[in-house]
Amino acid sequence: MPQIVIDGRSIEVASGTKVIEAAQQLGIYIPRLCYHPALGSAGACRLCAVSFLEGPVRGLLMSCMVEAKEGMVVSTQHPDALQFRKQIMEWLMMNHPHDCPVCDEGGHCVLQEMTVAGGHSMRRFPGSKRTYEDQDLGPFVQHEMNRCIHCWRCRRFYQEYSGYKDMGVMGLASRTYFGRAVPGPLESPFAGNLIDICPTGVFTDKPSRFKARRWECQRAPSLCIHCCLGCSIVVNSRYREVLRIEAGHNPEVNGHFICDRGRYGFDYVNHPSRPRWPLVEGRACSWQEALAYAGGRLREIIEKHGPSSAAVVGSSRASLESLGALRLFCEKHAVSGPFLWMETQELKCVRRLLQGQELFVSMKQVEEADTILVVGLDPVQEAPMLALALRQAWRKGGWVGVVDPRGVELPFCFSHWVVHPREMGMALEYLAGKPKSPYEGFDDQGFLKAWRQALARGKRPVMACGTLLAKADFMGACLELAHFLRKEKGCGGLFPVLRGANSLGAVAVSGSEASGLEELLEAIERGELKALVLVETDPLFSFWGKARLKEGFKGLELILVMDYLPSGVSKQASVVMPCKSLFESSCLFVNNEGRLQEATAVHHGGIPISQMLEEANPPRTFGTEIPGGGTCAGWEALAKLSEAMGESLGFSDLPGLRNVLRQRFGWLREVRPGQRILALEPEGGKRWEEIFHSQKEEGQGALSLLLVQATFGTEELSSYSRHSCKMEAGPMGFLHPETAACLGLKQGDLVRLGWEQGELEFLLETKENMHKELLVVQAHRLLDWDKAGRPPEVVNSGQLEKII
Amino acid sequence: MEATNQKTGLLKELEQRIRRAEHPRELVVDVMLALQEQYGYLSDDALEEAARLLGMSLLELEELASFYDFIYRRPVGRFVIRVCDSVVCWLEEGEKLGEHLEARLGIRMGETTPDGLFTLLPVCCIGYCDMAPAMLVNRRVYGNLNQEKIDKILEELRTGDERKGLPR
Repeated sequence: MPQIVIDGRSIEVASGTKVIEAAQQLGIYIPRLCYHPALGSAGACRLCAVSFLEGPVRGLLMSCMVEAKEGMVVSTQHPDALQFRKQIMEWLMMNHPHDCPVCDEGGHCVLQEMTVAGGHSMRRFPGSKRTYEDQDLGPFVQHEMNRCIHCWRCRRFYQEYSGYKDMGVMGLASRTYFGRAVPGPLESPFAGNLIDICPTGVFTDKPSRFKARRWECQRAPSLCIHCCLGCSIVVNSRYREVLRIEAGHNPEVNGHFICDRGRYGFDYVNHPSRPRWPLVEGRACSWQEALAYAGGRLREIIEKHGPSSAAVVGSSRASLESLGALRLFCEKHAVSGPFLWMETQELKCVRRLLQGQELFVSMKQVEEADTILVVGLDPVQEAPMLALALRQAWRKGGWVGVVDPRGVELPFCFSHWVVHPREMGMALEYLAGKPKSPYEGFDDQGFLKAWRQALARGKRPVMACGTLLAKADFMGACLELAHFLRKEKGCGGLFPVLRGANSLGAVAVSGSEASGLEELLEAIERGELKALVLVETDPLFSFWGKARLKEGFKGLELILVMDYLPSGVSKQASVVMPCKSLFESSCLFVNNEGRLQEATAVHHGGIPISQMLEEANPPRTFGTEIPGGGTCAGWEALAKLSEAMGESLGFSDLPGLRNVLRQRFGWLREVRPGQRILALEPEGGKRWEEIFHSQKEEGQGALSLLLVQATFGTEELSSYSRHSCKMEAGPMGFLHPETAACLGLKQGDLVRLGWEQGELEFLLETKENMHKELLVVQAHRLLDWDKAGRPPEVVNSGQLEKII
Repeated sequence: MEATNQKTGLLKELEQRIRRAEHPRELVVDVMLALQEQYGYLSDDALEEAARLLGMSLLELEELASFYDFIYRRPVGRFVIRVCDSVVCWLEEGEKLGEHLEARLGIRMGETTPDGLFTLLPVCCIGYCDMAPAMLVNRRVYGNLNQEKIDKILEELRTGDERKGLPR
């Protein structure tokens, strides 16, 4: 642990620490353009020069390239260093265009700051500036190569850190060019990070181009809720419109980066059709009127048909407050629910996983693991940032093994054991060393032996598992294997990937009798239900029961929707109450590892001014209220509804609600935002063995059907975003090339899958590394769910036909 | 027909070499040079071919191809004249020789004569400082140059005496 003196202050740092980091620990910011804590040192920009006065090295050196050593005395303000840095700034500006006034980076540009700080204001060099042609890099990233200062951050991130190979550096010397071999959309789902890490304006945010300077924006830290990981983000809003998302820094969760789904999915909050005021039977009205109507109707229905004739539905994209209020509402009025899960099976999977919650680890710990098993999970498609964490583990020499039937692709080398879904449990038992495993004694050219060896070698194993393949013994086997690794190694963990941003929050507030929407659907069809309250949920989005639900809705007397999305179900509703999104009200979420995280309100919200300009500018109607700003948080709307029904839920504001929830739920009592909840207690829960559908008999040549997620196109919120929709590949289905050939199909065919209750159409892609007895279809928003009943688990070759 | 046969022969040979290599990436420059030999320069098609052979992305190939001086991404003349553009040759008035070549050939550095015979390129030190000023024509070195000598070399390259034994 060397001791080092910087600017007269002494600090002891871990060996291997670079001087630039040591200074940062003292709160001294040494100027830098190429150094980035996640990317390390490059020594490219020469801006972090400092004077070494005493110690093993002397003179002017780059602080990002020199490790702190015992006895070093460093001055960051030495006249030599100041003069050198000043000169460097002048050189960097020699080729940099003077386009700050029209550059989107202007105002948060590191190069601009350093130029001003270095006092460089007059150009002395009379020569012309170097120029380049820019490329079209797709819908997210704007390219402006003339501004480049060759710090290499973009390439280091794109190729080394994230492992994608379609963007890099070409040419040399003054022709050095950062871009793609040919213009076209960047292939990496992490490409948006180029915008954050570029210290100048070469890569800027395309959707928010020319819209605002950073200082004009309302900015606040928030959470990404487009998957379960709960990455930190920073939100920029102006004139009631969320313009841009930047990655927030959260060392335990996402580090410095986020994925493009998280960066560009936000636009649902700006949706022009978003509900902005209450609607009763399609007519806009005041909250009072809507509450009186809905509350009255609900009370009548309950009095007439009994409390179980009304049901309350939520989802795992709702905040913990909304979920908690849903539970309180149910208890207060004795109505059915809350139904928070699309499928009972999913709820039970998560419950089962919770039994191993003492093994849960953070994404940071995944990065630090040396042996990682990824089972029943396709990280890039389901939780993209996990793929980036896995890559970091691999870069440090870690081994990654994937047990999955799908054609999983990851941006690094991994070992892929292609196992049929029905055999997943057996495969995991084999890895856990069960002597009776059918894989024992059978081994394909030593492949599995290598796996056992890798597991035996590992000192810090982690298992990441998904819930998509949850069948029969899978979840139990996951836990068993995780416990086995923990027992063998004394450490090791489990990293569950769930489907919703607040899946763990939802399971924790679910009562012991909770079930999925299938049971609700059946109750509707039996005519037992008369009223439905849907809070921040849309079962019509990708639920297989869409057609049946729509039919069932006809028999209901009241459908009340509280949401911030112009959802499908809100078009069926008799009463719509507009809700606040998480950018408009502070709220809590519990991520996949059980971490309680808070999103702060960014702005009040309302109709974006950009959407009001068509009407008139300035607006011709005058009032003291923000247009379209009269929205309530989900929990607030529920509390008001309850009051309209004559019963208070016991709170009137956010702190009040949080207090009530802390009293009601023991697991919430001691936890502060940012901390892990150590003991989530789900109530009750049936035995695991009972919960799965029985395996159907499979005929000759039958294929198992898997409905899977995609990075873009299957997640609900981002599918309302104008930006991320541009990166969707359309509904895709996947077959092994041999299977496809047997069926007379080939890559690029438009294929129809038909069964007695419905049909789905998708574009076929063949993948070499998937199981041959499998058909994988993306649960895409563009699939025609109106025509699809419950998809079959097993498909016969006759059910697949080529359309084009 | 013969050209097609030659090409498939080359591709087969390269595929074999790549299969045998422990790390195919190590062969990337060799593969690019071999294809360049075949096509006269590393065309876009050739670059794609190399990417396919090595299982690398087009960008990774372009990163290398655009970095190395001896890989041509654009067509070059029959004779590529590389004039040393480093300090020892400068001391021996190498810069003047460059200007002389430009004047004689009627082209600037980086250009090719309209008859497709000569391409003129500046190059970093080629290691013939003992014979400075020096230049390379394709793979042959000419040292201790002066204007007369250069005129003679150009004449011989034009008329054919010097052509033999000058591989690309």
